[in-house]
Amino acid sequence: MGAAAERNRGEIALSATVETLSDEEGGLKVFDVSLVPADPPDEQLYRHKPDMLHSARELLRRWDVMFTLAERDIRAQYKQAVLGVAWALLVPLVSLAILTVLVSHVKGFSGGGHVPFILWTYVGLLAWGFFGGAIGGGTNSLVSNKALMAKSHFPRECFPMSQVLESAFSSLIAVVPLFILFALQGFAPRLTSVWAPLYLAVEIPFTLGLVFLVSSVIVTMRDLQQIVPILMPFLMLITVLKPLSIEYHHTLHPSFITGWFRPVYCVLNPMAPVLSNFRASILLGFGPQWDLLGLALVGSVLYLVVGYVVFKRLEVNFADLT
Amino acid sequence: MPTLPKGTVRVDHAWKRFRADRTLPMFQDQVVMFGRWLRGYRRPYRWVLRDVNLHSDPGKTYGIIGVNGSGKSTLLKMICQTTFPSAGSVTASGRVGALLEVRSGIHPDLSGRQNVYLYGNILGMSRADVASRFDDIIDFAEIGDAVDRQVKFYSTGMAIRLGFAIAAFLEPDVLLVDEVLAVGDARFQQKCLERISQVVANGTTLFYVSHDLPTVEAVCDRAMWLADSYVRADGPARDVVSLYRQSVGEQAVLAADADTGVRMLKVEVTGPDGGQVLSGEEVNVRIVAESEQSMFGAFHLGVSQGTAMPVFVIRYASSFPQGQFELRCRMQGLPLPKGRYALWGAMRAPRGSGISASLPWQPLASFEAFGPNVIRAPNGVMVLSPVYVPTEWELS
Repeated sequence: MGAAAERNRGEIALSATVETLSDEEGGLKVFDVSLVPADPPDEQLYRHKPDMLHSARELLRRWDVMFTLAERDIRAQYKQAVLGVAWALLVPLVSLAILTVLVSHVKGFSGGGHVPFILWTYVGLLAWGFFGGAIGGGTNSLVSNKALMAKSHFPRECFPMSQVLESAFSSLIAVVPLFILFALQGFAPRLTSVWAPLYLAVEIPFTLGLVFLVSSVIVTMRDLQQIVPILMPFLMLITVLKPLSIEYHHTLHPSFITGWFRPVYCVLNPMAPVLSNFRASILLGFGPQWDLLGLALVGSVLYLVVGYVVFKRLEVNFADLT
Repeated sequence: MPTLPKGTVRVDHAWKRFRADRTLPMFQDQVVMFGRWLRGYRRPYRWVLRDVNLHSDPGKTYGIIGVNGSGKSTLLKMICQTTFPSAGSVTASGRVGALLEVRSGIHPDLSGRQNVYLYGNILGMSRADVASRFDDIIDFAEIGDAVDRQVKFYSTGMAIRLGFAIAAFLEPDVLLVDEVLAVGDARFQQKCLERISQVVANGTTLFYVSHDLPTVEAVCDRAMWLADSYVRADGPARDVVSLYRQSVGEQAVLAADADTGVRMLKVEVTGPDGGQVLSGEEVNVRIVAESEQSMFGAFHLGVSQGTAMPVFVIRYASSFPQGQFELRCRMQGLPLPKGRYALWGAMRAPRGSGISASLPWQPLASFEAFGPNVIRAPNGVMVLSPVYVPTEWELS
């Protein structure tokens, strides 16, 4: 390479005169490359200062790409599988089976008292499944769309967001077995289930924020790709099996998370109060725990802001590093 | 920011650099690098594009030529706005579409139909817009019944045709074509060139990256020649391409292997009576060479526009003596228009003769021919090489 460059340089020197063969604009211009400085002037250097407002506007304008990408992945995924869309049911049901077997061996864990244990677990799994699925798909969303990223220009946020959407779709399908389980267990969801959208409103920003963060960081730190799938089950076991004690029924769930650590934990892991509240509202008939949810929302929004800012800062490298 | 007409591309003092050290995008490497950064180590850079200026108005076609690694694709990526310039600015107004390859945009698990809609949407078109062009796309790609089959079961040719058809019929304001047409068969290639002319006539700006110089000349109004990250020349496509051809020839001379069994001592190309080389007139070539072995073999001579691909080849088979010999050749009537040409040559013994002395195909000399200018082909028609044909016309 070095020798070739040298030769090239030498050859360039032969035709070093800058000649303009034609005076009219657009005539042939031959450049003397020895006049080009080694580095660009400092004031021309590109500093990546993402304009959040502009980015958000652009994202809104090309909102549909997110749906298109999600549709593409869903179609491609289910076209592969013999079971088709039923595949989406398999994942939560298998996790349910595993957890049930696992937890039935844990001494003293009785779920929500009179609530059938299988329902207790499945509601938790559903709420977690949306988050976990989004992280699982989202982490690789930039790396695996390398080719598309090099060839087309639309907000890069669409890649991880399409994975969140896809996970939402799978979770929606996974709601069907929940109703079957209700029927089998002869148990009706409580009226307080109407609060569920509120909990989702806390869960979604957290999910988006973490997906932005993880997907963009992985572009520069590829080895984290292996670590995320190892970490996620641990997080799930902690969150699903060690729920926060809820004031109304803390006798049911003595929790190790108490004292000053409780609010901190709610901010750090917004999934914990979200999960507890999903269960308490759908299965036990409690309303929202405003204090913990408020903290969770603060944490959630923090994750979203930090995740998005990191994503936009690292965006400059995406096409070059993937 | 003033709004530019759709299809305008402006590249102002654009520079692009990549990291030059061998750091992998890994957490462990980042940690190591951070430690070194704290100790004052700054990672080295390698410039892949320097000070590129390029303006194109809607409906113009720009060719970008240069050897591998000269920065052509990086420039296209910057115009596509998928990669940021390290310095300077790049703007492209309107929809920018790049020609697709399988697995980039074209998703192998989806059917042809789904892929058309998918990419249309990625380009920013509505479903109705795509639907109105759908039949044209399928017709052009000649995939017929296969439209509902998964693209991974397409033949390579079908997938390429589909990729081209999608990009060329969705009519982005700026179309980027990066060295893909070469893989299609000759008939499809011609069809693509014609389609490109049409798209351009409709006001699309085209950027065309290729090593295939005849197509660049056929398709592009203007061209830019990049060499080793520098812009070497910019101007009308024909002029830039011919400059580039010459340089390829000059570099081949520099790179020619001196350590061969046959050494060239002197090569002269002259016109009639030792004067200038003229179109349609006789040309004399005189070669003085030295061979390590005596051999029965063939001496090939070819005239090219600088590259290794000759316009024509002539051949002389004989028994060559050991040591110095002189070979003279008289071509009667040079079939080339005005321009700069290179004389290439090779000398080889027949296969299996056991003689290793030979001269690989390499440039021997260059010469200027004087005569009528080459006649330009209509837009979108590829001329492989210029040939001078004396003509007489009659209209009645």
